Amino acid sequence: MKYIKIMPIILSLFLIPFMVSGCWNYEEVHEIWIATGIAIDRNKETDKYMITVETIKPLGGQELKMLSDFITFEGETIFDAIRNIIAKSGKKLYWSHAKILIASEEVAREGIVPILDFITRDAEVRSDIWLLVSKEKTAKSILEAKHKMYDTASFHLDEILKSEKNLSKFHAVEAWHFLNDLSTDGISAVLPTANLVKKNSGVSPQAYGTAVFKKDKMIGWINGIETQSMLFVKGKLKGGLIVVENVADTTTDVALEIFKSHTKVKPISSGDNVIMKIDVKTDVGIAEITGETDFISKEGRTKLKAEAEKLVKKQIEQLIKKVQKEFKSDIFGFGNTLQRAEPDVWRKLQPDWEDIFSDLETQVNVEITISGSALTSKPIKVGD
Amino acid sequence: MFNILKGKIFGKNNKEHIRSLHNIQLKKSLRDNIAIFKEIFMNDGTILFRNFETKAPDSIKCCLIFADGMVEKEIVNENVLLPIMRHSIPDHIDRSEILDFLINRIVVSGEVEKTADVDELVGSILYGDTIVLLDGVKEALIIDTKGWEFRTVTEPLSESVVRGPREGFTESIRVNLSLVRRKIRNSSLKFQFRALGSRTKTRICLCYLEGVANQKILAELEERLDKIDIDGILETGYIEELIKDAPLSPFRTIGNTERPDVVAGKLLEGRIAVMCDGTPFVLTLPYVFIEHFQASEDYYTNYMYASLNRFFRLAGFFLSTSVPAIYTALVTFHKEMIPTPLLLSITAAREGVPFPTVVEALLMLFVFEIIREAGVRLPSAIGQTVSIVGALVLGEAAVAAKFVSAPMVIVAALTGIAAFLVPKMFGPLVSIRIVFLLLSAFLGLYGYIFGVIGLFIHLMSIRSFGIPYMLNVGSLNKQDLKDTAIRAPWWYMYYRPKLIGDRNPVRKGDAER
Repeated sequence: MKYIKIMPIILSLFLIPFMVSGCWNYEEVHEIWIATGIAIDRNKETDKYMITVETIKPLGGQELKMLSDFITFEGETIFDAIRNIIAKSGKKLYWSHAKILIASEEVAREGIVPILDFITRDAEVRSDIWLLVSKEKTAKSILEAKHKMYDTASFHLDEILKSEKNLSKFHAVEAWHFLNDLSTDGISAVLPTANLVKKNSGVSPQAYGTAVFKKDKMIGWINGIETQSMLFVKGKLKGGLIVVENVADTTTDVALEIFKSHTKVKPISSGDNVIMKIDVKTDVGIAEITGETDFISKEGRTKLKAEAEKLVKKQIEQLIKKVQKEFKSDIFGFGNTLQRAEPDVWRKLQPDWEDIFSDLETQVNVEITISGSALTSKPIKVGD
Repeated sequence: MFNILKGKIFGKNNKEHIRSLHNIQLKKSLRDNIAIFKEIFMNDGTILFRNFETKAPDSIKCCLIFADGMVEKEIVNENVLLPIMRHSIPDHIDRSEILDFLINRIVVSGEVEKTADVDELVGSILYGDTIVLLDGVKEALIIDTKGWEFRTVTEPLSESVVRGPREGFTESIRVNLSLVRRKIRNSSLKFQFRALGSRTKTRICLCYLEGVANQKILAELEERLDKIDIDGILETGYIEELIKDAPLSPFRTIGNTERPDVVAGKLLEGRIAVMCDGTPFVLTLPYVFIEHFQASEDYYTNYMYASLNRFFRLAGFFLSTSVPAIYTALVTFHKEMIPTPLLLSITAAREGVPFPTVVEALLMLFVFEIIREAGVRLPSAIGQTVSIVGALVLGEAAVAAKFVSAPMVIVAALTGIAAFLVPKMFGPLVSIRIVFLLLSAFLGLYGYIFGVIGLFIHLMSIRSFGIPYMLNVGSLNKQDLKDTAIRAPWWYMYYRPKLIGDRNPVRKGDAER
């Protein structure tokens, strides 16, 4: 009797899953078509989006060989174009393993919202997909680069972007993060840029520099060193090098490796006048000395420190000026900082923040601590 | 209706024949008594009747009855036959007192009894005792002359250890009792005998430590044993199935072991053991879930190492139930959860395999069970062939021929091997893994989680003789956890398990600290 009573409970347990389950589908793994990257261009003649999808498919057999392929299709919107691909391939693309999305400069200048909407709305596309802006004519050409270390250009770029902390000449941005910056007041979004470099007989993809956005539209570029300066100001620098050339009027160059960097941005307001105080504190180690001059001893180190601080300060000031005058776009998030520190002042200034930003006075202080010189404690000495 | 008919045709006749011995008492005349036994043991050549007389004068006619092969012949000759033949019974002794005279003065045996009940006499003969019938006496003597061949005490095959005693139970209950008695030399160790099986009259023995074992559990056990009505008990498995809780569950709620040290350990925890003549497997109860993961060796080796091993066994439980289900769910539903390189290599391996992943999984699990089952009952000489066929033909060749994908072979092998970490739970594991697999093939990880929830609800709802099956598993109390997923060092185990050894909870003297 007891078991007869339990039966309805068990039955309902089995029935509930059907009613409350969401989106699920049984699909064999070899029947899907894995998309690894997507490039978005604008076809001027037809005024349609031109989508290029890089796909990967393993070839059977003992060795693990990958076959990468490209499909290009057009559509009124991104999703329309993606669905149009089915008409050609018969298979639905699988987006969860897509690593990168490259938008062409043209698309980025027109406005990036249509792309972002697809990424955030679609269930398969991950919101941590890397976003890039192509510096080449078309975004497609970057995906189609012949020389790549991995099976696809997407995987290659994925690895490059993951190693940001060793170089800091680009700033990798995930889609969700870009969207965050885009929707926050007092900060403008940036994206890394991708271009092609010659390698042997072909070309190889590369990430270098930053595309600056104003609202959702791209307005210009900054280069690799400027990107590093930007990261200094934003306090997001995780590594990279400071190269001081001709230290103390010698012919010796010194490369300093950044171990740790911390930035404090503090607005100082007096009435309607705001000054941004930027304190950069950086721990570095001597990574390379290209001559015999001793910069490791106390006196040498003091000289080196002063030069390095001067250099970084100069670079940061130049960048800030450039962004203020050329782009008028607050990529450093000064407005955001002001909002947090002094909400009342921000409320007053917000309507004309663009103008105020372009004339904003900044005070940059750089403090570099040289904390080591790796394995050797002396420069190489050349004997007679 | 059907049952009534069936009872009318078969049941009644059988029972009546067995009952017919019940009320028969011995007669006064020796010839009549012999006739009774001759009739009972008709067509049984092993029952020997030895007629003789006591020493003259006044010699009395006697008869020895015993079963050939069940008795020690030397004892019968030297200690029973010879003394009675050599002595004359003095005149002054009345016939009714002759048996007492024999017991007191003549028969040399540690265990002598007198009775007039034919049923008991027949049972004794069949159990290797010798009975002595005297002319003109209404009773008979039962003399213990048991002596038959049995297997010597050897290392148990099913539970071998690296460290620990190497003796295992045998098929003889008397040997088994002595093995336990030698471990616990204490008068509070009690052995209660009873016979089960209306035809086999198998001897059953309940062992427990008085003052430690829970009396309610003992009473419950006795009540359940009393209700058993079956013609024969050949192994403790019969008893287990007849008295266990949750009879429809694949999980066992009564434990079994071949090792005397395990039984002794369980008795000291307040559990009760049930021995059965004719099998080396002894039941221990109550039996809770975590006991599946406790091996006797845990208590003899370093506690850290033992705890680590417990963890591996728990991991084995998880792996062997879940690996095929999770793999299938990930590969067919949640491809976004697999790292990209792994996904690509799985895709490459599955390229060209004709079956869906579920079918593939079921096929491989089935093949593994076939190989295992084939290997279990084979002579060890042929066993090797099975493993070669299994490894080469069904593994290597199947992958090369694209019948199955290589990852699935790994999954099936891992699942199968992991199950051996918890050998006592083998049956449930096999069935659970198939259910989980089907659920996850149906609904992905969602279905799998449903299966897990169902399993836990089931485990939480079982009881073993009133003790919750998941006792202490979900507890957050430090004391309760000491012998679960970890094995606390002996100097730290102050108390016996809760609920089971409650009557005398303190195991170690300084528990009050």
